[in-house]
Amino acid sequence: MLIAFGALYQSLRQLSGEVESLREELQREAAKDVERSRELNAIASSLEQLSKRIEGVEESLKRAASAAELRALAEEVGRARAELSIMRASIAAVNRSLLEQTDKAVKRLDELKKEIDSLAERLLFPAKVVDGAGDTITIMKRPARIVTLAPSATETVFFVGAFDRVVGTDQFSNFPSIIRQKVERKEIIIVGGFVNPSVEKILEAKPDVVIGVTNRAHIALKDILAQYRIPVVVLPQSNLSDVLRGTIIVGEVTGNLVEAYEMATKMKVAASFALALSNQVKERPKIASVVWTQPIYAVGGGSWQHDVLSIVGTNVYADLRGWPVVSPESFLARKPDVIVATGSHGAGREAVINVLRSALGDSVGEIPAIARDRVFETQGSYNDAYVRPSPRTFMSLYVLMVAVHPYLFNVTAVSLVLSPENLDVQRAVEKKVPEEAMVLIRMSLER
Amino acid sequence: MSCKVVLSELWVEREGKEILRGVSAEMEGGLTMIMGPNGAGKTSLLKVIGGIWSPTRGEVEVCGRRRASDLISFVPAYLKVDPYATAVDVVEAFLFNRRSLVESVRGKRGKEVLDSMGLSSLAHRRFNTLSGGEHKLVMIAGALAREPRVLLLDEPFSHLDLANQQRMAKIITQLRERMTVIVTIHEPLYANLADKLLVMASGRVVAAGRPREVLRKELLEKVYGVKMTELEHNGARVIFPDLADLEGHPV
Amino acid sequence: MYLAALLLSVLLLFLFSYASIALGPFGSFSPAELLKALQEGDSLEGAVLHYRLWRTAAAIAVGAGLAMAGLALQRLLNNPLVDPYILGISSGSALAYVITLALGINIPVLWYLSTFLGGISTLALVLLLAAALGLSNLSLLVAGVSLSYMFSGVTIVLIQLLGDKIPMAVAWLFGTVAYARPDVTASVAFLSLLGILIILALSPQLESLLLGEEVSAAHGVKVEAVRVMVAVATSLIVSSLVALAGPVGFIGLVAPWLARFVGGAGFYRLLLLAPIMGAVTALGADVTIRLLGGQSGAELPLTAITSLMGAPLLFYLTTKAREVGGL
Repeated sequence: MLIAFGALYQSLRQLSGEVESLREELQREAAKDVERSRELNAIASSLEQLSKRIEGVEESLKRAASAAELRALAEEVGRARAELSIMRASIAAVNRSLLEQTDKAVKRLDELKKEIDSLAERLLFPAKVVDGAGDTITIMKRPARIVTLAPSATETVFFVGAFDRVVGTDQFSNFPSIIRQKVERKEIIIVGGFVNPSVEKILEAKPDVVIGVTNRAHIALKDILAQYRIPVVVLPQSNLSDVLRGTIIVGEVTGNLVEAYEMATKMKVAASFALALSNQVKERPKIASVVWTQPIYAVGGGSWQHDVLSIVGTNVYADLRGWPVVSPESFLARKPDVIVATGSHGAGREAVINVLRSALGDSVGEIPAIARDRVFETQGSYNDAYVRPSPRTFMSLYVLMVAVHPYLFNVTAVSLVLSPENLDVQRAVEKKVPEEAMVLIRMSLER
Repeated sequence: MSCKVVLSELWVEREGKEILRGVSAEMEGGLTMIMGPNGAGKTSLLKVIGGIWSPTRGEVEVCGRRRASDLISFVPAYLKVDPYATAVDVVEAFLFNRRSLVESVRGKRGKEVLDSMGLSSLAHRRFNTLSGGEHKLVMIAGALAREPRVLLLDEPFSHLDLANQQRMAKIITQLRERMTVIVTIHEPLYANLADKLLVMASGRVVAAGRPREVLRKELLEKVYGVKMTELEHNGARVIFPDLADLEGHPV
Repeated sequence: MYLAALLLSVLLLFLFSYASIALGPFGSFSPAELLKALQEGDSLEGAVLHYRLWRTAAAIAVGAGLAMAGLALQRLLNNPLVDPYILGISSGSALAYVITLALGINIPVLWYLSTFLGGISTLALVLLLAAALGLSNLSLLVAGVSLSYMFSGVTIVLIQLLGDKIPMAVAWLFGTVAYARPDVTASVAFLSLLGILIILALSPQLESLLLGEEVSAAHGVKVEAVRVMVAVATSLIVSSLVALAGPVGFIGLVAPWLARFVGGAGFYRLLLLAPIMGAVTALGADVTIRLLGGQSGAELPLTAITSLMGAPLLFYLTTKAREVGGL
């Protein structure tokens, strides 16, 4: 253990030195090139902060090695990796000659991560993880076989880089798309539905851990699978911060802590950047989101979808919890500027317009979203990303940002049907949003 | 094996209505018949004797005991049972606490009882599909298998054709040697068979005694409110509603 | 005839139990594989076998218990058309169970207590309602079915409102033994055995009740006491089973009927045959579900199958009962 920490310590020292010299060089560059000096100085000061943080990690490494400290260390390295990869893009933009040195630092961080991973395997496990149901679950060793019970759980596992260990999943998981081939090749087995998984099939997959969500059936499975010493971890799934929490939980469960913290950092940046963007708009658009039309179920307060709507504009049904049944008249009272219909759940654009028109008659024109034909429908993977609480939700956030605020991205015409075929969200936001958000979007599009 | 049934000042009130209003009677063995118009309280009296209803006031004593359900068999006027139940099942239900567990499971007693009564052919027929006469015979078979000291029969002659009425009369008169038999009847004809006849009206016993003393045209006309005709035949007094009283009837 | 029927049903019980242990989405076990899996408990096959054994035990408990409860209720109410599901006892218990879970109570004893109270108060309410409608066989059905629908509605609304606070599968709402916990199965089997014993103890009185309450009272049956005790016993059985497997429909109707069909209506014979037929029915439904679910392993609810048997039977029995004057 000590030897491993010694190596880690050496790497961090080296890295710290590299970051330091990079910073100095950036400052020298800044002096030469007056025009770019402001930009370069900003990068230099970020680098300075980064190196300070790495020194902090070094300090803590000198002390005892416990799982908690390793977790903190992983969090720092994860963040540092996220930030350095962003800075790399900025540095490349101002001064290509410094790239080589930056890449060296990135490489060092990669190695650091590997070392933390190998340390994690020994130091993190047995890990005590507090899951979404508030239960403390002990994971004895780094799980080699994972079963996921919900699409959002499968996607979260993918985003922390542990998808290759998934051996079983529910019948609705369709992301990443390689699942289909893996099922055909019998590398992954289907263990039943989202709400009605089969205990037998889960046993057949021989999992070291089962990752579900805070769904009645998955919580009920805990007691049953405990008979077979299979821990069940359920991920919280109420809102966007639960997605972050769930990502960290998956990191702790799988031992991929660095990736988890890296992803969580990216999600935070992606969300706060989108909010900063929409804050530039004078009047926040009022949005209603409909998930079902018979009767009309809308997105109320407290869900991840509510969080997405609140970043893009304001949710007109924010005062109602969960997914309330709302009356057609309430659309007249709350006057949404935009309606977002979830296409895959029997609540497409046409269905929403029809149900409102048949209930309200001509007064349907009083609803701004109808009057200006701003009724969107999410389709395909954009829809999946919006209706499931997973790291992919952040892609749907940017899809809606582009749809509702096209001028912020210099996009002219946006189709009302939001699907990957009609709108390339990656191209629409490229160079206009931070690299953190771009990484999430690229991963969500499997590019 | 007969025993005494003593009723003293029985009052029964149900749902605010006085159904029995001070009935007193003694029945010591033999065959007692209770007669009277609809709503006179005949069946109610039988239920009180059987312990199905408890009197609001007054007392019932059967064989010197207040509760004597183990000595009593009760046969209702009409019975509707589980559509799958056979005659044997009905007899077995009369015997519910009179057999060992093994006998209960084997279920042979019911068949034996029916065989002994000459009703073998009915044994495995659905009870609800039996004719009125078969219905009553099966129930009486079950009731007798309980070896009661008091047999209560509600309307044994109802729903029977003449031949079956005759058969029933024969059974009842034979039984009075072995136990106290109390029956309710509508037909004044069979009242002649009774050792003791109680005539009831509006919850009271208006006449009691040997049939020859009680069966009088005037009394029945008063009780039933119908004009009667009286005939004597073979020492029995036959009283029946006067058909000539029906206007326009070709008599 | 009866002996043949008994032998046949026992044979069916063994056959279906074997099928329930041998078949499933994991794959079927040959007898030799079963023996091997039994010996090496720690293997994957051993784990699957362990799961299937408990699932089989739960199905048997559910079937036998519901059949006994149905038989006792039919006799008590002198009505061959009733069962705990039709009378609303199951849905009353289910509502109580969901409320208990919604309150965050995770103590099995309290589950059983609340489902019991839910079940017995529903039964009392149905009897009162039926009396208000004029106590007849059909008014009982009407009262039971309408209360049942009302309680199921409230249950579904509660689940919709409370969402994830209720740890159970959706399939549970329509009955399933797929998520039966061994500890719960064991205690539920105990509780429903208690209820079955009460019914067995009351069997002479229940037999007498074939002749109706009045004749029974004349022959010394304390009808009121029997009514209360049968209500307690059936509620005990049904409510504990609801905590285990949710409201499973129609087994309480189908099994006594099957038992009569093969073995006649003698009550003491039904006491043996009905629970066996109940277990056979439940096992048959559960095996069918597993076969229908196929390789995907999606668990369907039991009532999906049992109502396929129960609903036509109810119709048939109603017309038949009308013909022979049973209504």
